[in-house]
Amino acid sequence: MALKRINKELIDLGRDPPSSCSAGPTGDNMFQWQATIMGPGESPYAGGVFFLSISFPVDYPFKPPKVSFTTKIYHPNINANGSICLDILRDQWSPALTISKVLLSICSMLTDPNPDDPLVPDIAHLYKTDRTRYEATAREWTRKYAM
Amino acid sequence: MDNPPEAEGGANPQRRNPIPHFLFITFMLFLLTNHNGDEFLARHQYQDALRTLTYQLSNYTAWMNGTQSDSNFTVPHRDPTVAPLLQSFAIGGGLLDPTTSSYYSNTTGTFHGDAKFYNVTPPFLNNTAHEWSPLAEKYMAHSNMSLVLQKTGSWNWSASDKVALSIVEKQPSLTNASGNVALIHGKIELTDESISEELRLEFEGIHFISNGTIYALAEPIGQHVDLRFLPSIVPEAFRNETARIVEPELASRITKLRNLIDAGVIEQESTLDEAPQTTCPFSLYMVLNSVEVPENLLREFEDEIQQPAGIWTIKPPPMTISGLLMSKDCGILYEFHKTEGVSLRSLFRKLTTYAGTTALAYLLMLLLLSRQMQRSRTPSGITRLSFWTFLVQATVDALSFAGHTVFALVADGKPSLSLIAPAFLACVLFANETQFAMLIQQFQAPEDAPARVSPHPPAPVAPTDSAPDGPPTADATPTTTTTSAPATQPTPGLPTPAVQTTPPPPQPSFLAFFLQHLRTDPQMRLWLLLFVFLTLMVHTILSATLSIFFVAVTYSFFWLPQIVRSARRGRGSGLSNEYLVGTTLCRLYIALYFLLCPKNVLDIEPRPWSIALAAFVCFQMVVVILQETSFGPAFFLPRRYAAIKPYDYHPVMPAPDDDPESADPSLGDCAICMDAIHVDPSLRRRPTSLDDKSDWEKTSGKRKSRAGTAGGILNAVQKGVGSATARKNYSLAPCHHLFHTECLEKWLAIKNICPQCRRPLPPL
Repeated sequence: MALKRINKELIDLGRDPPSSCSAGPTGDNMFQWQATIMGPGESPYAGGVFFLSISFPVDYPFKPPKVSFTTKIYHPNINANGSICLDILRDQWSPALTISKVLLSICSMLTDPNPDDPLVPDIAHLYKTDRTRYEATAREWTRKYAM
Repeated sequence: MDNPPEAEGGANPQRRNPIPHFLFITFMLFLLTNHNGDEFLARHQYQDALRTLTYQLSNYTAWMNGTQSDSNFTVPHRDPTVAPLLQSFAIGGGLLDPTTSSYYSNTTGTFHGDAKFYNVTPPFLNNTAHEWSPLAEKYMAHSNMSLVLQKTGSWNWSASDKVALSIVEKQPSLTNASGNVALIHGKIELTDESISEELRLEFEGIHFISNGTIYALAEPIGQHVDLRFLPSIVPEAFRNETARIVEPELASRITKLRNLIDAGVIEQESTLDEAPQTTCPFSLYMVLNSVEVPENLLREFEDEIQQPAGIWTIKPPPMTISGLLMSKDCGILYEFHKTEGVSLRSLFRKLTTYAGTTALAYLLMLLLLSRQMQRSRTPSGITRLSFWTFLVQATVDALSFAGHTVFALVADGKPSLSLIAPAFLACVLFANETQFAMLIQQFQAPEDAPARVSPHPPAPVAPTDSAPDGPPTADATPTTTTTSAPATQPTPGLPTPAVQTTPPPPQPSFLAFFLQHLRTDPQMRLWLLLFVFLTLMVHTILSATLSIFFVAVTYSFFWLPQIVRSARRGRGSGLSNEYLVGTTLCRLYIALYFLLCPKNVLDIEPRPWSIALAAFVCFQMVVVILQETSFGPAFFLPRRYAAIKPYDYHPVMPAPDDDPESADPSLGDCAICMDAIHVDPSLRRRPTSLDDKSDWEKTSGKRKSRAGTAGGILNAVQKGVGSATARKNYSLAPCHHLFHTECLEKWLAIKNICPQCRRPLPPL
């Protein structure tokens, strides 16, 4: 069932690709994907191209996929390992969600970080207290790692 | 945290004092162990017995040696009137030709049979015309009639028509040169069937192996048999031999008792609470009926049974015994003829077989249960099951565990320990079933929670701190929902005044304190329930009638709660057929073994009604199975009695697309597997006709509601086979999101919300 559904998602992504994201399997293993996200224009990540790795569990639509950034990014909800703190990837997962929806959610998270549920408290603190310094650092990181 | 009473309930247990629990448990343990501390008395009793025995031995030895001691003790000679009486009842015994027939040499075993009562007091004898009457008259000639009434006591002798003997034979002692004589002891039970009570007598006697005769003295339990008088009842020819064997026996008893006292092993003798029913002393004359088997073959068989070596032996011939139980002092004579016995060894063999098969049955049930638990481990699966079905089964297993354990402990001998196997498995099964039942309870608790909480809103109005306890405890203890609801109803009258009037000095009486605790503390209630349950179990095991009643009641309620639940909720049970059939058969096997098999290990009389019981259980099982099939869970109910419809996940859907060219008619994609949801072509063809039919049912159903079950079944058949199974393919959530049933079921096993909109979903 998992493989069938992953194939369907791949076909859907090809037929109706979401703007600013793309995803596909890295090799022969359909359970291991790679995705890219273009930094949203109105965010400090604009212009950057961020790579993510997606790994599907065997009981896929019933368990969330594991998604993490492989590109370094300065964000309150993403840590140095690339782990993403996003509720729909954890306890709020629903089998009706797809990879394209997940990627779109990550996109919107880049625009609007959630400092109240941070993964990196320092960045969250900076985001709340000194927005300009945060944006400068984020922009710098984007230029350094994602361009 | 959206529910304030629950938040309070969470904080509450911390305020509770653990000391009352501790006290309560100690109290219960005290009640259960019941030490009344008269070990001192018991020791005293032992010493008394020792003194008596020593005294008996000394004057017995004196008599044997012919030296007169100060007590002037002599063993009287045999009553000459006994022999002819025995002769007339054919209790003689005799030597046999060892090449053709023989006697059993070891009588250890149990004998059951009918006994015939004769009143041989002279006034009664005159009215009867037995051929032996004159002999009995002679026998009774010198008895003291004035003591008869006093001695016979309250026991209803004439109503006792069943006799059971259990005989334990000592191996012929080595000091005894002939090897031909064995001391025996045992118990006789006379059963009065009308009141199902038993009179127990203890006997000690002597068995002459060569001619199969047994002579014994019997006394009601509690009065010790005086072994010294044994020589006085055996025929003159055996008198000296008997006298010689009695002396070392007395001596060995003295040493045994002395060792016991020295070792400090003092067992309290079970003192009879009620007055003894009789004080009649009896003499028991028995003869083994010879079997038509050459002696050497029979000995071989007996040796094999004693020390199994695996050799091929003869098929055991029946061991039967005939005898007379007479009391000269009371004018009582019981005759039992060809009473059949089971040698203890064969009984043990039977017991082991029983234990083995029962253990297998339990193992099978355990396996089936675990498979079933695996099957219905999802929330939706669990909500279909009935809590009571599993609780009843757990109760049966608890009793079975206790019964087997008691049986294993009470029946002496190593082989009875094999009963521990079924007992252990029953215990494991009990634990599993209870756990599963609790799980079911927890899942189903929210079902009736709104109904239960709604009458409570006034409770928080009361200002005392005890008042808010009411609703949360009702929620917190799903185990006692049935008791908690009525218990909390009448309470405003009773405990609230106690709390309100005495807040400054918290000194309520013990009873009030106890009640208050009972009402507010779920744990306390659990302990009390446990205590009541245990007491009930113990009483049930000890009384045969209660056990049988218990079995009848519990067995009748095996699947009944499940049927009711399935019918009320309109969903099948989700119990697999293998579980239903397997469990029913295993349970019936165990119960019917005792209730139908005439020679079961417990010697329970066959009860013909158990066939009806078995049929009833099987009928229930069939109903549960049928509920699961297309007949529908309420097929046996007429339409109008069907309860409020639960949410139907499989409604009739409008045809997806009436475009005949569409090769792939689907209702859309399932959001879980993203595959199209196909509709069965048969459903697509006749959606209108189906609607028509249900309308027709509505109108005609009222008219023909008397048609009852038959109508229900017919409807189910008409509707079910064609469309209902096809509609089971998809599930429409209440929020109008459509999924494959299979996909939704898998998801609901993880989380009970709609994948699309996250609304909570009713059980599928």
